Amino acid sequence: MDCGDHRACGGARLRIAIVEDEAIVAQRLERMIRSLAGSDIESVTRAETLDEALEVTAGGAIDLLFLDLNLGGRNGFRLLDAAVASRFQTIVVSAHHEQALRAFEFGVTDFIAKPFTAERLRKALDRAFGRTSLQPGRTRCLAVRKGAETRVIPIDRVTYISGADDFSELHLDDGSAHLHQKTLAQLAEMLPDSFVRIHRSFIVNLTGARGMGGTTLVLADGRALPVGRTYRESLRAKMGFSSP
Amino acid sequence: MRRGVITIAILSVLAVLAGRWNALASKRTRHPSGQYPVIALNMVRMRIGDDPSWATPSYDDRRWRSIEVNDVPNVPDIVWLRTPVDLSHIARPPTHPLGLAFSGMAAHEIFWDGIQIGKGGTPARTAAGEEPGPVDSLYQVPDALATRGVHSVAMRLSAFHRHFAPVTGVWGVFVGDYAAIEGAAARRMWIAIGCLSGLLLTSVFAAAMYFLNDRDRGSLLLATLCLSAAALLIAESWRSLFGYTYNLHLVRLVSVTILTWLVSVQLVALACVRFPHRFARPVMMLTVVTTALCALLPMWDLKAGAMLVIGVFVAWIWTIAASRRNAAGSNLALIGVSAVAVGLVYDPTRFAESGLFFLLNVLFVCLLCSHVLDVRRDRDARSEVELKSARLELELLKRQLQPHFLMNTLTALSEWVERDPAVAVSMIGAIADEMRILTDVASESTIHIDDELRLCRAHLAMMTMRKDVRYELVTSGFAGNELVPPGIFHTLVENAVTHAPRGADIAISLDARTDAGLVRYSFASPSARDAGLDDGPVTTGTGTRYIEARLREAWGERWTFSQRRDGLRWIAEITVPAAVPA
Repeated sequence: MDCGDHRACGGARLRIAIVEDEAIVAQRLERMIRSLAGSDIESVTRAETLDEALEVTAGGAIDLLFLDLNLGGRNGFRLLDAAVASRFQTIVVSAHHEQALRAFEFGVTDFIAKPFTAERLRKALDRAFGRTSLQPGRTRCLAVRKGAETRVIPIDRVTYISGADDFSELHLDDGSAHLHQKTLAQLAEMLPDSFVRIHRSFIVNLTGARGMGGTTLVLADGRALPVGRTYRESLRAKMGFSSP
Repeated sequence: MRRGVITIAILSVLAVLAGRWNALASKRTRHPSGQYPVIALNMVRMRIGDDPSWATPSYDDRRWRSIEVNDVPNVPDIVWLRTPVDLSHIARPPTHPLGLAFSGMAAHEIFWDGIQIGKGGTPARTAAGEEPGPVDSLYQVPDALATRGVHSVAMRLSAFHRHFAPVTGVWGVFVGDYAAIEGAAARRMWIAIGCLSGLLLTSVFAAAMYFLNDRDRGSLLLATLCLSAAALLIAESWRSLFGYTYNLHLVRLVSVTILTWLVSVQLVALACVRFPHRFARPVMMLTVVTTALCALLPMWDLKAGAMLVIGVFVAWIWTIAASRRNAAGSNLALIGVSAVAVGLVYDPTRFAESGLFFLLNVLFVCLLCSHVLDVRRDRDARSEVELKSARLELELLKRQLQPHFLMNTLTALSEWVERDPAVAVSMIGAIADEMRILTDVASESTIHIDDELRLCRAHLAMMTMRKDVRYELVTSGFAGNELVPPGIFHTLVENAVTHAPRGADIAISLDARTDAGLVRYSFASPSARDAGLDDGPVTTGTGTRYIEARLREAWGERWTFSQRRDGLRWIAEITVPAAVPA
């Protein structure tokens, strides 16, 4: 497998989980993943039930999750809430193609409709590891964990996102802040065009920005955020200012 | 409450109408009004025997017996009647000739001031010599004789051809405006024809409904009842419509009695058919017998009247009972029967001749409306059943197109094609088997148990290859001739597979026990601990509804279906009648 800008690049090997209650389908996924990613894989874990799957993902010790949304005839969106709030990327594998739009709104990396081919699976893996860009702008909400619960936040309520170590912090229009397990880079991939990186540590929702002042961007509530030198020109262009 | 008020209001209106109509009819028939009053010659002097001089105005008849004209006795000889007619107070315009009407069962000759002005048949002293005369005759009194003053009327009668002994042989003799008397008869005729057209139209309509609407007995009875009522009306009106000689009067009376009996009995029969009840047969028998016994009553009017009273009141009480049970269409029928009953109470003596046919029209229109509503309800119910059946068929077939089922099957099939084509081929065979049986049976309301079990096994064979778990269906206790709605065990099997515990081979059992006309099916399958009975999109939620709808389609409400968890087993029990309704 070629090197992306993710875990696989750093030499660390991928830990993959497959949540699928159809044995042959799970076998097919594992067989294909192993043949496509081969030596980059550290482990492939299979789960058949919701409970098992929650146990696997709660540990957080995975990089990529393949998730069937209908386990034992149950709706799997409850599982998806928890999955997308996690650091790992989620690829949904489902018989219900009509769920794709909603899944993308939750910020999943890809949606594979059953039945699938090895070629389709390769594209999904490429997308997960950044070799092809995602289709931005489809994420409509972000899920955050609050203790055992998962809360879904509509993205238009997010004014800016700050980077904090390996996590991110979502700042909402009501002044509240929520930790998100994905990094700024991962979120930047998912979010629509109105979200712009302005600093190594900040992504801003431009729909709520009041204007630029020198090296800062002023938000609707008067808060000023620093604009990094490398981001300045592109931000000016996006805000409709010409270069000085 | 509202319905009751409406019923009472309509009844009152009908009662008043019936009363008014009766009053009008009586007025017209009894006292035809003209340019001058009609005189009824009620009192006469009578003598048995024959002498031409008895016609002369100057003949002294004071020693003759004075009787009412209705009381002329039945004697095997010629009877003479004489009476004076006083025209001194009558100013007769020249354009309005004077008429004399004779109604009765006799051959007659009428003399006005000694001059013969009319002759109906030929009176004679022997049966052989007599030629019967018409029952209703109207003669014009020559203008020259119809002068002011007192005149003499003499009637020479004989009645050898009555064939029975009537209470009244001569019904009436009237003198008055010729045109007015004639007009009254014509009016009676038109009223009869009006009622007749209503009855015939209803009869034709009901007959058409019978032939167009699966030959239901209600429509047929309504058609024959209307036809009988029309025939009765014709028989009743024959006298004013066509007239006849008095020797045929008995034929008409017998016809009227038989037709009245038919109308009475059919009225009750129609009520019983339209509003079935377990007492229908005994009530029907009782009505037939009692109305038939009415034929033994002494007078013809009494016979017919009693039959009608029994028929109308039994039908009335029956309809009231039906209405209390909220039987469909009973309120409309009750309005109609009540109208007839009210009319009967209002004027029982002349009812058969006047109000009956008008009110029968009202009744039949009510019955027809109630019947049309009934037919529409039937049709709606039937199309609803058809729609439900079509939905069930679609639901069963749609299962194979459910994304969860279809896409996972295709994914597993793709895997087998790449990994082990031989298994893929077997899997395609199993899918084809299941689809073939499904399309064959989906439109049936019940199928042979063997077909249902083949369907279940084809599904399990396919799922074995799809899920890499061995599924088995173990059956016991089947006689082999059981009939079941299509897909009910298939639904349970599908659900069992969805909620089966992981890892192990799965054995599903289905047992049948026939006892006392009932078949009890017991279905058991291993179930994962967390599997609910009513979870998910394709399992027991819609599955339970499907099974219940199919059982209802086949057996109405005569079935039971229950599901429960028994430890790690899921049990479903279905009890149905051993026989399937035709």
